[in-house]
Parts: sequence; structure tokens; C-alpha cells
Amino acid sequence: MASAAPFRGPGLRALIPAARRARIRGRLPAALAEVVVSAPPPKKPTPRAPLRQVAAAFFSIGATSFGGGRVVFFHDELVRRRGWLRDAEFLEGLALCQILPGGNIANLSAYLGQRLHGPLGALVAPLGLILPGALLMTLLCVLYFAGLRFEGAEAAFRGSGAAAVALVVTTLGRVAPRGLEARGGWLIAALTFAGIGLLQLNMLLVVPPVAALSIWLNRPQHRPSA
Amino acid sequence: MTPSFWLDLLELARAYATLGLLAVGGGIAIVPEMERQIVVERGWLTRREFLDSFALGQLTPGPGLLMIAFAGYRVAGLPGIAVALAAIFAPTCILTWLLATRWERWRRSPVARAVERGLGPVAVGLLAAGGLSLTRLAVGDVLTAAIAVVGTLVLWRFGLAPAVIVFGGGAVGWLLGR
Repeated sequence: MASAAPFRGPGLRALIPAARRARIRGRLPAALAEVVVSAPPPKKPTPRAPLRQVAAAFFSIGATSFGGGRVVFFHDELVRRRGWLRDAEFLEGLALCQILPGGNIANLSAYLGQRLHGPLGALVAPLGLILPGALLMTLLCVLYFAGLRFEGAEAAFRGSGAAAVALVVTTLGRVAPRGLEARGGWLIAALTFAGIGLLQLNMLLVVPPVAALSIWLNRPQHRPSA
Repeated sequence: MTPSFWLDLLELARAYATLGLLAVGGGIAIVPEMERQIVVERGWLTRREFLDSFALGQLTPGPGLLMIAFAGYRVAGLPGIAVALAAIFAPTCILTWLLATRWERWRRSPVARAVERGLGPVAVGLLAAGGLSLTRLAVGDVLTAAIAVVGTLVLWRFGLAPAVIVFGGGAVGWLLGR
């Protein structure tokens, strides 16, 4: 599994050893030390991927993601093939975009587009995702209202729907090890699955409290300094 | 371009922007609400046309919500499609984008690390739940069950592009399932 190397600006942290950072910090007024020593992330973080490639990747997702389980295509293209994102980042984006209103995968494309190439990426990714399907749908619309019907489409639809089950199962097998690493991971995943999958409760009833519990379980620990 | 044409476009934009922002939990969650608004209240599509648009939306690549192009076309032709798509996708994408930019500033804090770790198992649970509802919907007989099982084995063993599996399943369904 390719692990994405995040291109983050080094800031000053990387340049100054921890011990010296502490010494410098001690001599400066607190506010100034915050600015100088723990440098905030650079204003313009280096994009992880060229804009053209981002557009191409999302266009290809938009052109191939048939049937159910469309998030699987994101994972395949962006994590497995191009190695731009880590499994954990993908899962985080997935969970966030499921809670937000709107088409999940359009939201996911805006979120990941921002991650990969800033605001321009966030503009280009949803456009690339939607464009191929929108063109095809326009064509189908015109044909449909001109009186054409699509015989056999339903049988093909049922077949591809069943195939989508295979996609989701396989992707689940790929991302679950990383997702379940978190403290209490199995419990949280089981609660989410039981609430939404088995009991079919409203997502807004289940996800926020379970997510809050999970984040609390994984809260930063104060370790004794070595 | 008569004034009523522009009013139609405006009404379309308003209706779909509202629908998009209501769609908590994804597009499928609002299909009943869409049917109520498009078929029952406004009469933009017949029930049959609405169901067909849903099926075609599932067959078309990209977001399932592309199905709304149908009602847009019915109301205002090709400009109607553009307005309908922009209205349903743009507001929520902008909302998500705003969240993503805010989120990036927090990235380095330990809290953000906790959120990333903590959301992992939630996403796994959501994905599993999605798989289950997809199975309920799509697997109903021996043929569809066989496609699902064989598809999983082939995909796991050979790591093909997902599109190959979906097309393959569709082709098998079309050949054997009619």
C-alpha cells in the first residue's frame, strides 16, 4: 500500500532542535515565541499534486464510478493508484462528508480537492467528478423525452448493483485495518454499523455521539516527558 | 426568453438548493422527499418518469443526484439541467470546502490528530452499513448473490479497477438476468 508523503513546509520546527527551541522560547515574550518558534503552517502549503493531475484523477473517477459504493472509486484512484492520501486521511474525509448535507461523493471531492491542491483543487475536483456523468445524463434526458426507452437496462442495473457489493466488501477489507487501529476502534465501528446498518436509525442520531465518543477515547495523552 | 422562463429557472434553483441542503446522509436519503416535491407538489415529472430518472441516475457514472437533470430538462430544457445541477451541488460543496479550509489550520494540533484517529472506525462502520444496505437492495436471488461473491473474490485476488467489476456485473446481469 503506497503511503503518501505529505509535502508540508518544514517550518522552523524542523530546523531547530527541540532543546534549543525550548531555550529560545524561554527568552522571548510568550506571544512572540509562539510566532517565531512554533511556526504556524506556511500560508501557502505546497500542493500535494499538480492541478492537472487532480483534474484528471477526479474526471476519471467521475467517468467510471457506476452503481452503488461510489466512494470505493475514490479510494482506488487517490489512495491505491496515485498514493496521494493515506488510508487514515481518506477515512476521516469520508466520515466528515457523510455527516454534511448534500451528495456525499460531490462533497468528498470538494474536501479532498482542497486537501490535494487548495481552493483551486476544491473547484476543479467536483467539476471533474460531475462533468462526465452530467454530459451523459443530458444525452439520456434528450433521448428519453424524445421517446426512447432503455430495454434490458434494469437487468444490467441489477447485475452492476450486485457487483458494487463486491467493491464495498473489498474496500472494507483494505481500509478496516487502519481504521480499527484507533483506541476502541472495534467498539466504535460496531456501534456505527449496528445503529445505521442494522437498526437503520437516522445518521444524525448515531454519528455525532459515536464520533464524539471515539474522539474522546483517542484524545491526546499527556505522557511523562522522557 | 420570456419572463416566465426565468421565473421557472429561479424556482428550479430554489427547489434544488433546498433539496441539496436537506440531504443529510447523502443523496439517497432525500429520494422520497424529492419524489414528493417533484412529482406530487409541482408535477414536473410523472411517477414513472421519476422512477426511470432514478434508475438512469444509478446507471450513469458520478453522483446519483445527477438524476435531477431530468426534472431540470423538463422545466427549462438544457439551461434547466445546468441550473438544477449547479443548485443541488454548489451550496453543499462550498459548505464542505469551507469546513476543509478551516480544518487544515487545525491539522497540526493534537486535537486534530485525535479527530483523524477517532473518525477512522466511524467511517469503517459507515462503510459496512453502506455495504449492508446495498446488499439488501441489490442481492435478491442466486444470480445477484453469485455476482457479489465471485466479484469479491476476483477483486480481492486480482485488484482490478472497480469499473471493470461493475461493468462485468452489469454485463452478466444483462446476459443472464433478462
